[in-house]
Amino acid sequence: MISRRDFLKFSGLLASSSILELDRDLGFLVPSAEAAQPEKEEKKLYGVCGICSMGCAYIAYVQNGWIVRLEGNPRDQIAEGKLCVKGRSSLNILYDPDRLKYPMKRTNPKKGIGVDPKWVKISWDEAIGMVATKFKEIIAKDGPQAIVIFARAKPHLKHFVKSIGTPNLIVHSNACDVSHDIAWESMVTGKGKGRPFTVDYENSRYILSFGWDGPGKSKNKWGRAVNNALEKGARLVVFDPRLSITASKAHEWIPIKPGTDLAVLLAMIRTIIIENLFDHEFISKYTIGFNELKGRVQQYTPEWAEKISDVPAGRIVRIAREFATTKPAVVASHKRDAGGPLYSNSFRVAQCFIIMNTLVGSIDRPGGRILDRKPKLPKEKDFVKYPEYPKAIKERIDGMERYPLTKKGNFFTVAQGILSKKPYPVKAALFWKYNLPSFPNRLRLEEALKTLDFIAVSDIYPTELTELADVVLPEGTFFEGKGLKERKYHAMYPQMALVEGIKPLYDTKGFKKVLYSILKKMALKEYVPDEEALKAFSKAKFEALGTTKKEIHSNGGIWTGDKEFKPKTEFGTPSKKIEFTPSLLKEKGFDPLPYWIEPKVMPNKEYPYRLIIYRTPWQRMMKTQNIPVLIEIYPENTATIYSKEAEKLNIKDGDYVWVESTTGKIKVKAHPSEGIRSDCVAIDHSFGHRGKGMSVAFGKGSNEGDLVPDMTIEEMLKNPDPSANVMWNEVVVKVSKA
Amino acid sequence: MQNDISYRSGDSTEITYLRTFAYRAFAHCFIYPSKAWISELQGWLNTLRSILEDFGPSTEDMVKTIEEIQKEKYNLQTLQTLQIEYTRLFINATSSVLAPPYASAYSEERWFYGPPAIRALYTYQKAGFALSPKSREMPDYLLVELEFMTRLCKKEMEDSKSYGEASDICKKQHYFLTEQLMPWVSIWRKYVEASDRAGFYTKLAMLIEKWLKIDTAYLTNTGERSIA
Repeated sequence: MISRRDFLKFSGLLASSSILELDRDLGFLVPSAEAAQPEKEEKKLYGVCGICSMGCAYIAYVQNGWIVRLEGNPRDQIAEGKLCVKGRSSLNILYDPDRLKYPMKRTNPKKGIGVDPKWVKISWDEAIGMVATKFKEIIAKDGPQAIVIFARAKPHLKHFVKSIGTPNLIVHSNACDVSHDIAWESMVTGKGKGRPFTVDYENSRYILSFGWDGPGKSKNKWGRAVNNALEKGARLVVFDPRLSITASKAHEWIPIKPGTDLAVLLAMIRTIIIENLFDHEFISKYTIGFNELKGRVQQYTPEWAEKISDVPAGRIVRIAREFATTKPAVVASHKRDAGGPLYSNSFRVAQCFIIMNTLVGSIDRPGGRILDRKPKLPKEKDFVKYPEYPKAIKERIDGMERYPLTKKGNFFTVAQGILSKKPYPVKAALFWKYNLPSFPNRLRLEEALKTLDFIAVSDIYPTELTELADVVLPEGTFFEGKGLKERKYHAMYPQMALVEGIKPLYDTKGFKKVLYSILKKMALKEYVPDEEALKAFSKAKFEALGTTKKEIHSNGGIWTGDKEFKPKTEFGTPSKKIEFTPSLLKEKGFDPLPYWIEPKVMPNKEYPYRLIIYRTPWQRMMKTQNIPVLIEIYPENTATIYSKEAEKLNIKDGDYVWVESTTGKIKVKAHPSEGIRSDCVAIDHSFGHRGKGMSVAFGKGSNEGDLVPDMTIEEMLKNPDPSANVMWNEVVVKVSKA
Repeated sequence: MQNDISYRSGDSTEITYLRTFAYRAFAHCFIYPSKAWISELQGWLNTLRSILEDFGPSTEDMVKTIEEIQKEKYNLQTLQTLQIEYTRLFINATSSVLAPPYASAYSEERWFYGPPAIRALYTYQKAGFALSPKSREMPDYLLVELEFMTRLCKKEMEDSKSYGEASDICKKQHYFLTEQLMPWVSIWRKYVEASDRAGFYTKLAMLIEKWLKIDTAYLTNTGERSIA
C-alpha cells in the first residue's frame, strides 16, 4: 500500500517545490453553488451586426454566458426583426476554430504567402511592446511618415495616426464609397456631414437604378423596402450590364453599355429640364445653380446618348418622363453602382443621381433620398482633451495630398508608393481588418510589404496578410464589444442601438484598446484618453438621450427619438441650399457641373470583354468566406458570360475558364447566361483566399482583384475624377477555356 | 478492458489521490511551454512516472514513453521549438489549427461551442463548478476537461467518508470520461501524431489517451465492485 508520504518521496520534484506546487490546479474552474442551478431561461443581450455597414441590430440569446442564437431586433428601423443570411450565420465567426486566439510573433525571418512564419504565442505586453518599440525606432530614424496605418477611418484611428504624427492613414474609401460621399457632401450636406445612404424606397412610386443592387447584396432593409414598394405598385427600372437580382425584380431591365450611365443620365436631365417636368417649387426654393445646369446639359441629347450607351433615345426620353411625373420617384444609389467607384466617370454619375433626385423634389422628402436623422449627442472632444498633435508632413505615400477633396487614402496607389520609396521610404505598417485580396493587384502590395522592416496585423482571422506579419494581434468580434451605435445606413428617424457584448474569448482585444496601449508604451500617454473623462462622456451621451443603459436594455435594446418626419428646408452647404454647382468643387478647382467623360478603357480585339465586378447576397468582402453554411450555399465565384459568347469559345456551364487582363490571370468557373451583355464578363467578389489558415475559405474560387491594375499617383491623376475613385470596372479581359 | 490496476480493499482513497495528481500532471505538461514550464517539466514527468509505476503492468509502456521524453533535452534552447509546435498544433497555424484541443472541433458541426461544449458546461454546473471568469477558453478545452477530472477526484477523496457518496462521484467521473473526454481525445491524438514535428506532443497526447483509457477501465471495475 503506498502512503502519501511515500508518494511525496517518489515525486522527485526539485528542492524548491513543495506540496503546494503539486496541489496547483490551472484555475479554469471555480466552485460555484450558483452554477449548480443552471439557467433555465435564455438571457438577452443586444448588439449590432458588424458583417456589413448596414449594422442591423440583433438580439443575442445567451445561456450560461454563451450566445446560442440570434434574431434581428424588431425595434430597429434597419433590421425590423430580420437578419440576412450572413448575419444569421455570423455566430460561426465567434466560434470559428480558425479564429486568432492569442497574440503571436513570427520566429521565421523569411516572409511569404505559404511560408510558415513559425508563430509563437506571446503576451499582450510583449506584442504591444514590439509594436511600440519598433514604431519609436522608426520615428526616431526615419520620421513618423515612415509608418503606414491601413485601417477604416474611425475616430480612434484618426486620433492614433495624428498622435504619432504620420500622414499615412490608408482607408478603403476610394475603393468603396468616396465618389458618392463627395458628391453628396458637396451638393447637399456639407463636408463631413452625413452619408448618402438613407433612401425611403418603401414609399417611392418609381425607383430608377443605374447598377444599384441593394437587394442583391442582401442589404436587409433595402431588399424588403423595394419588395414592399413593388407590392404597393411602384415601378422599378434598372440599367445594368448584367441581370442583377434587383434587375430580375424590375419592370424593365436595360442592359446598358458599362461606363455609359453618365450619358443616359445627362440626357435624362436634359429631357426633364427642357420638357419642364421638374418640380418648380422645389427647385426655386431649395437649390442654386439651376440655370448653369440647364446650360450645361443642352448638348447631351438622347440621340447622342443612344450612340454611346446602346439605349434607344426614345427609351431614354420615356423613362425620364416617367421618372419626373411619377411621384415620389428616386434614383437608387449605394456603393458599387455606376456612381462609384467603378468607372472613370463615376463621380459625375454620383452627381447626376443627386441632380435627378433634386429635379423631382426627392431630396429629403418621403419616397426619396433622405438626410440621416441623428440624435443630438455630445462630442468626445468636449470631454477628452489632448495636447496639440505633432505636425505631420503633408506628403503621403499614396500621393493623396494631391486630391483636395479626400484624405482617406488610396488603395490603388499605396503599393507603388511604397515600392518607389517616393516621396520617402516607408518602414512599417499596421493593418486593421484589411486583407490582401481587398486591394487591386494584391501581388504588388505583397511585394511592397515585403520591403518593410515591420508589419503588425490585427484581425479576427489568420488571413494571408497575417502570414507576412511580424506580430499578430487577435481582435474580438462584434459580439465581444460594448457601446451605443447610431443607425447610419437607414436613419429615417433618430435611433441608437445598444451593444452588449460577451467578454472577449481567448485573449482577444478590441483594436481601440490596442491602439491606446501602443500609445502608452510609446510614452505618448498624453494622447490616451483619461478613463474618467470617457466615463463622463458616456454618461453625457445617455443624458442627452434622456435615458440610461438599463432603460434602453429593458426597452428592447433600442432608443428611438422623435419619429415624426419633418422635411428639411435648409441644407448643409455654404448657401444652405442644394447646390447644382457645388461651391466646394469650385473652390478646389474642379468643374462644379457634371460633363461627359468617356470610360477609361473599352473592349478591343485582344481583350473583348469588360470586367464587371459585383457582390452576391451570401458573402461580404473578404470576411465571411470561412462560414461553412455560406460556402455550402455558394461554394465558389463564377464568371458570368453571355451564352452565345460562351458557345463561340466552346464553354459550357461549370467549365473552368481563364480570365485574363493585362494585370493578371485567374481561373474561375464559367456560368453562361442570357442575363449579361455580350461584351461583358461579370465576376463576383469575395473569393480567392491564399491563406490556408482560413480552412473553409482557402482554395475556393478566385480573386477578381488580381485582374485589376494598381497605379502610380501620376497615372491616377490623369483621370479627371476629383474623388480619386479606383475604377474597379475599368478593366478589359479575355476568356479562354482552362 | 481488463483492469490491471492493483487496488486493494481499503486503499481506494490512495488511488484517487494518485489519480488526482495524474490528471493535474498531464494538464501541467500540456500548458503552453515557457521558461517556468521548462523548469517544472521534469518534476511533473517524475510525478507521472511514479504514479504510473504503481498502477501495474498495463502502464509499463507509458512509463517507458515518459523516460524517453525525459531523456530529451528540454531546455531553453529547445523551448522555442516546442512553442512553435504548440502554437501551430493547438492555437493557430497558416494551415488551419492542426489539432485543436477542443471536443467540438471533432463533432459534426464545424464550430466551437457545439453540443460537446454545452454538455461539458452543464456537467460542470451540475457538479457545482463554473468556468472561472479569468479564463475565456471554451468549456470543452482539453485543459478544462482535465481540470474537471482533477476536481472530481478531489471531491471523491473528500466524500470518501461514506462509500456510497464516493461511488456517486465515481459514476460522474466515469460518465464524463466515457461520454465527453474519451470520444474526442482518441481522434485528437491522431491529429497530433499526424502533424507534430517535434515528437513531444505526439508522446504527450498518447500518454493522455492511454491514461484516460486506464482510468476509464479502473472506474468501470470500481463501479462493478460497488454493485456486487
